[in-house]
Amino acid sequence: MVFTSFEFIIFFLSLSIFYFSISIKYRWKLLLIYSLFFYGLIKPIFILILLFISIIIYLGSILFEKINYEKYKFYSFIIILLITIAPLLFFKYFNLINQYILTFFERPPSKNILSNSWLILPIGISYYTFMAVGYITDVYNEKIKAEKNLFMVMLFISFFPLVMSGPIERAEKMFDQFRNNLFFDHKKVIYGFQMILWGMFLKLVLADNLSLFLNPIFENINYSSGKTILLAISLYPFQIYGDLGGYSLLAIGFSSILGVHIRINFKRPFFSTSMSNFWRRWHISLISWITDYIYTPITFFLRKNGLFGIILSLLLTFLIAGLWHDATIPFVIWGLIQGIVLSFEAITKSSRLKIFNKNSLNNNIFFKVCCSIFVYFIFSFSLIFGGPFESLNECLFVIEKIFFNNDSFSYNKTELLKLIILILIVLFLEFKQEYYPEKLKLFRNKNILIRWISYLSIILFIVLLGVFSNDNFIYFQF
Amino acid sequence: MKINSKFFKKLFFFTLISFISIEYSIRIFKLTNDIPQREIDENGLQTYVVNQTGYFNNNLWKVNEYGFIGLKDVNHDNQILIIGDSMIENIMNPIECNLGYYIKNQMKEKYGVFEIGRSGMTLIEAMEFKKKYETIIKPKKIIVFINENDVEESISEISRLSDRLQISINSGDLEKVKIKYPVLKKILYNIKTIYYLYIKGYFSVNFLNFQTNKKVMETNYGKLEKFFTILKLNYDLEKVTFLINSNDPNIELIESALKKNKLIKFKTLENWFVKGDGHWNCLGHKNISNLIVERLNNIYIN
Repeated sequence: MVFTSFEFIIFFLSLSIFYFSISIKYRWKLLLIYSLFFYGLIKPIFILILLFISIIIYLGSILFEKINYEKYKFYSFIIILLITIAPLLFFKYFNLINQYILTFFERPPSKNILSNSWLILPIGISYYTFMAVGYITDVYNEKIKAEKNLFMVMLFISFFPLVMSGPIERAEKMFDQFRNNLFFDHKKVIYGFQMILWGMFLKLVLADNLSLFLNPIFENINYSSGKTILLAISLYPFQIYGDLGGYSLLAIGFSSILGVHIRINFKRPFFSTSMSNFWRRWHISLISWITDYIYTPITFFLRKNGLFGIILSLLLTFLIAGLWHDATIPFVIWGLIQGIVLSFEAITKSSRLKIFNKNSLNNNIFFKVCCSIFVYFIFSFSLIFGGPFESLNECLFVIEKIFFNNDSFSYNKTELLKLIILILIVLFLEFKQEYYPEKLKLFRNKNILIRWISYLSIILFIVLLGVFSNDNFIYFQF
Repeated sequence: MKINSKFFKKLFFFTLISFISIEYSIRIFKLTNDIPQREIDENGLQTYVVNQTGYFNNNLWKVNEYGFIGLKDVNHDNQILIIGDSMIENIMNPIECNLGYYIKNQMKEKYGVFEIGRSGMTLIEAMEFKKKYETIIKPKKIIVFINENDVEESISEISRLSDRLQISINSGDLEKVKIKYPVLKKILYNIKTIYYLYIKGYFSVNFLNFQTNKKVMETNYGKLEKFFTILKLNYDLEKVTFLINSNDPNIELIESALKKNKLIKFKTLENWFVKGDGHWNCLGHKNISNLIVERLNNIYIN
């Protein structure tokens, strides 16, 4: 049941009516019931994983508070951490390791230890595992206190707007909201609707129309010309942005209606002036989680190595990020590309700043837009490895085709024109928001007529141009 | 709970405005197809309510006084009656693409054509229409199109479909027919927004998905044989020629049950179909009409 489906509307409507009819102190319990039901609809047995992780982190966090001896506390933290991430590692990498073993011993795939149905990756397992890891690490580091109510921990892990694809939220913020914030606030409801509208537009109109155009090209690279593949690769970031960005906004919107504030996950990433700036705007919740729980500990560990330590930390962090996406060579390369570019930026940071200051480029919008275009194309290129192609051979074949195949474009011109118009609408609105946030306000205009016309225009776009038959989100697979 | 009534009033009002705007946009841009409403006569035969008009794939359709949307020649010396399901109804193409038009043009108006086409028509219903209209039209020749599943769907013992005319092969009686989900259909066809979202796949409601596979056909072989025995006993097939796809899973059975010269067999190509639709396009209709004309010429010469 995805957020854009008819079933979900019914699900959410029934929850909202029931939710706001009961006393505020019972609302979090109702949220827990609905969240478990929501996740159970994917496959009831998957609920067991959620419950297992919840119980482990609940017991672990209480244990940390009880242990006074630092060394034992550390060991118990490592054990709890490993148990927490064990389901993720099992579902994500067992099949791969098993296949390598079978290939090594030249045994047929039918000799697989477990049937394939056991190895289907439960949707969202990465996201709630990351939230769980964040929680126990914060308790271990005494940033927050252990939650004494197991069911509250369960709700934190299973909260339905976040369980399938994030954003990855922090425990300290969520527990407090579940206890004190679940009241009806029409401002939050309006904000929620605004996020839902824009999220639906990004997902159903932008991402799904792009997927109809791009998927046939990616699936038939043998028959597509180099120019067509280049065009497709250039447009692909918008598809991911629409897909994951749209999904995140929907999660934020539905949470907001229920009274839970979720932080924004994308902040106009295509207006980033550098790659480091890009990663502060793209999939923010994941990157900040990676920064806090992977990059910072590695940097701390390598702190004596100066700039080299930072570079190594960046490379290792993005290598892990690549492996998290998929344990394949293309994703390792994708991670390394990010790491190398970020390292380059770290090395040249002071000299670049000097040049920018000297030429007064920091406030030059034209220069900033040029930088954004440059960053966009680096990111697009990296997606050859971290995108739709499965093997390294395919990725290399794509690069070869882009550079050496001179066949003419082959695409539906009307469809491309429609997509370019949609992309320009998104870019225009984000450009305005980025550089002129106080001008031409639409959703937040004081004039009700302008607000309503804006809402209505988006609704008409969604209904008339949206693709409603696609039930998939790219980031469910991770 | 403290309820902000002003907020809910605004929300309701905005929802209403949005709905009206969407409904009008869909109607202005003709984003949905109009579906004619049906009625059932005393014999259980379903026709469309007369004098309705609408657009399907931007083609205008109009229900004639007999309750069909095809040709309606009645006073020609050489009348042809064509009966069949949605392929004959042909709502998705301009009326100039109907089999009847092509046949008339090719035969230089030597024949008048009356078309009885309606989606979901079973073979037994086609035979009942033949019985009824034979006296009105007085045709020289009758072409009955048999689509895949038309035979199985005629037999209530295989699967009871209450919205289609079926026969019980055990009792030999026709089963009662009723229009399925009339209110829901009326809502769906008249509130364009809902219908638009429905056809775009937003509601995963599956009304009817009747599929035949070879295994089902094999288990029903006896029933199908019995059905054709009843058909030959109860209906005068002298003027009737059946039009059938040679890839139909029942083709061998139909060939053995009916005389081979009673069949016009055809093979379709991919470019004979409307894109994203299982129905013939204009080229498909033209090619099928060529086969019918060829057969008519043979009969005429002989």
